[in-house]
Amino acid sequence: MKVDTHFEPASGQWQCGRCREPLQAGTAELEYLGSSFTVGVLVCLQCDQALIPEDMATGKMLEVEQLLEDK
Amino acid sequence: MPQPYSSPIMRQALGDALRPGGLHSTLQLLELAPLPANSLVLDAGCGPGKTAALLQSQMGSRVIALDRSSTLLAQAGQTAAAIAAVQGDLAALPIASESLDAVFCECVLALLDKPEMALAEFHRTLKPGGRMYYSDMTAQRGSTSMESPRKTSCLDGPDDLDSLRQRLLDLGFSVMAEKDQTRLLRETAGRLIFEFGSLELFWQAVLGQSGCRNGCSTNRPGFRPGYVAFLCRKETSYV
Repeated sequence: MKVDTHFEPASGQWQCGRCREPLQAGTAELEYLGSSFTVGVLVCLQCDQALIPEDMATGKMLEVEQLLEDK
Repeated sequence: MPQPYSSPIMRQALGDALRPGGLHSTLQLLELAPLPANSLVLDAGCGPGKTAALLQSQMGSRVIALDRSSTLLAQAGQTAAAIAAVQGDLAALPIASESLDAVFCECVLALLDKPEMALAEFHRTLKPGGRMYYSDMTAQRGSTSMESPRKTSCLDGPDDLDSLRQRLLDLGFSVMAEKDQTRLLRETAGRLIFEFGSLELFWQAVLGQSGCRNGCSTNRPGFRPGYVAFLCRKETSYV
């Protein structure tokens, strides 16, 4: 399946809190209850940390978690 | 009538096998019961022909690939060139009685209004003791009633697991193995949520706004779909 790597947060110039490098559009592997998903997010190219915006955490990620938790 | 399984969006979402997990459940059942070389096999509702190609290349089977969609059948012919591609109705197979060694029917029957007619045809065309490799959607919870007059997706009112098992027994099949494949379905749904934003938006992209006007299947209150694979055998004592 296609992964949208052109994700941008709603606003702001983001940089890595650890490396101070500007974040770049990329992908991250999310794992939950034995299943993994590749999503388009902003990442730090030096340390691989990813920015998970609040709307993704409380939207898509929550919906997928509930799906996998059999609730 | 919408043909969502011919949609490029559906192909992109579900992969070339057009079902959750691709060939995973096919390979799992074949590991339990490999087919002897040169077996005559029907891939019923073959879609783009992924299973047909696997059977031909890895099992050495002679494959009849049947689908009602000419679009998908043309793709199957490209995927597996040496198969016999037949456009037809699963409820009236153009195949002689007791001629097949095996039938594969994967994630197809939940699309039919009368799946028992297709199963009866599989039973008729299988040799005594012939095997059926069968996977299908189930309703783990929630109403199985349909709101639309005809099914447009496999989630429009699948049967519960007990009903599926009983139907197999009633039509003269014994169940040799049963594998719960619901995790494959949920992982596919999870990918669709990340890709499209929600399952409703995915179905809108496939069916259009009008296709979802009665409420997309995944939004029915309390509805919880499952996915199961059966390895069955045609019993001859059935009258």
